[in-house]
Amino acid sequence: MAFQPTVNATLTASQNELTSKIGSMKNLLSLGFRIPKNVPKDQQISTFDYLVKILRLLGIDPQIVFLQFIDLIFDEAGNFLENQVITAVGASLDAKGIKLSNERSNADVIAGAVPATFLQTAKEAMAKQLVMMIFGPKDGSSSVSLVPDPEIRNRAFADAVCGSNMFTLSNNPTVRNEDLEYNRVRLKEQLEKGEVQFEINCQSVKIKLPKDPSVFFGSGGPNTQTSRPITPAQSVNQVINYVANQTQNINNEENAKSAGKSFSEILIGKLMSYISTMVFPYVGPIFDFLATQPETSQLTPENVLYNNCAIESNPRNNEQKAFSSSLMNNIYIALLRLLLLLVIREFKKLVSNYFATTAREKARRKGEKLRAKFSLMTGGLANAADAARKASRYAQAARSLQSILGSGTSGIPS
Amino acid sequence: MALIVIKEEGNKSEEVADFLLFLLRENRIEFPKLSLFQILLAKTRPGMSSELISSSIISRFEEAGIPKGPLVGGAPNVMENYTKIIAEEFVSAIQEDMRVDVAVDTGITVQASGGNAGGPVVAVGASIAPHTGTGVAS
Repeated sequence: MAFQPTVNATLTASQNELTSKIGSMKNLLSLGFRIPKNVPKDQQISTFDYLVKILRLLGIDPQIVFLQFIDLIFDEAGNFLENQVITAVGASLDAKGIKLSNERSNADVIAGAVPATFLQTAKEAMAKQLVMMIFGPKDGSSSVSLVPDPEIRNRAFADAVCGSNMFTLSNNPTVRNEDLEYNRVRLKEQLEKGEVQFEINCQSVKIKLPKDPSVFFGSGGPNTQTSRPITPAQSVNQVINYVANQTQNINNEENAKSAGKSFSEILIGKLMSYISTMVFPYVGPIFDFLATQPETSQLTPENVLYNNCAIESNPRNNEQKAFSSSLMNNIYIALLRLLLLLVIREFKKLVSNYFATTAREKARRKGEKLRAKFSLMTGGLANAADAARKASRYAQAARSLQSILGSGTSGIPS
Repeated sequence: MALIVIKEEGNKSEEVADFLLFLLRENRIEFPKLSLFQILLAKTRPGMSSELISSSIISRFEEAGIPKGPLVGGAPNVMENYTKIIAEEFVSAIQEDMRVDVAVDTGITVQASGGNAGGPVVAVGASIAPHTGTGVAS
């Protein structure tokens, strides 16, 4: 085989630079650049989920806001829920094309005619109804202890099944109708038995209420005397704590803190879906007033507060949905307001702390650099002055030995 | 698909993000505007040095958990070399390629003196048009 001489192919600095730059430019062009996405509103994350996500990133448990919201709904001294119900009735009348007054809105007319806290005495009953609608069972002593009236109980049970998909706090997923129907059938079975399955913090948990769930509402049995009356909001909070204890007993504690829906989040979602059913038995004062008005004398609660099953069987009828849509959306916005106020407060604190800390660090580093420069300068000067003083002292001391050492101080160790 | 749809007033997740980003921008500490005296004193600044910059960065490697000095087995610390290269290239670009475009606003006080047959003349005025200039960063 003939001798193969090696070719000298060393690159100069500029040749090397050019080949490297061509390579990096080709590389950059081959990268997929991030194109900002314009996501349509209906496909974006819901405002509720986003605020909860931000709160968790800020290190705050959104549970405090959920409890505050439950307190707002069931506050017996306040009239938040009453105002929302009146507004929703007004919206329903608007959808029917009925005007009670030319000067004022329907809601204002009704608000002026009914007592401001017409739901005050009903809130405990509403809280009990909510618990029955979430946990069941349909019949039995426990459901009777919560909701004694069979008519209210039957309506509530039917609405609990039909209303399982009434309102969602998250974005609407794309779900097949047959899957929705399957979920509804499963829910109905679980509610009838009183053993409902929940997905709490990414673990599947079956919760059954105690035999006498009225213990959550202050009545502990024939021999118990309550020291002070328990509010409906506190009762609901006790139910949440009960579920948390059950979850901890059933499943691994390690999973308790995992990201996922907590039970209070699930309860709030259910409350939104069932709120129309909960207020239905107690809107008498509003319809007593409406019966006196010629435009609304023929209206009954059934044809204003349509039940969830009626809405579910006729989903495109906006007139039927008007009351529920107004009530659920207004309550949802109230929940968002509570979350948003907390997010803004905590975010501002974080941002101020962050910028103050980074500015302090910058100033500290700048100060250290200046001190280092200054000590170099002054240290050098001080050393020079010190050396000069030493030299003068040695020269003076060495004068007596001049005869031996000669002139100057060279060779004398310092 | 939920039967009751969330109304537009409650569909504000993007607006929430925009508002929080606005708060972030509003709360940042702005670099204070330099006074005329401080700007004139800039003549005493020593200028940028890539060696000082790279040594400052390397001295802070501990804050980021990056090891300093030669690595295990005596291998050269590539992060230090990388930092040195970046500092050199940046400073080189600033000192050799960067252009500073300056615009001077109207209102600079101007005084001129001269004379005519009637005697010395002093004129005091101000510039009436903005003017551009070029600077060099070093």
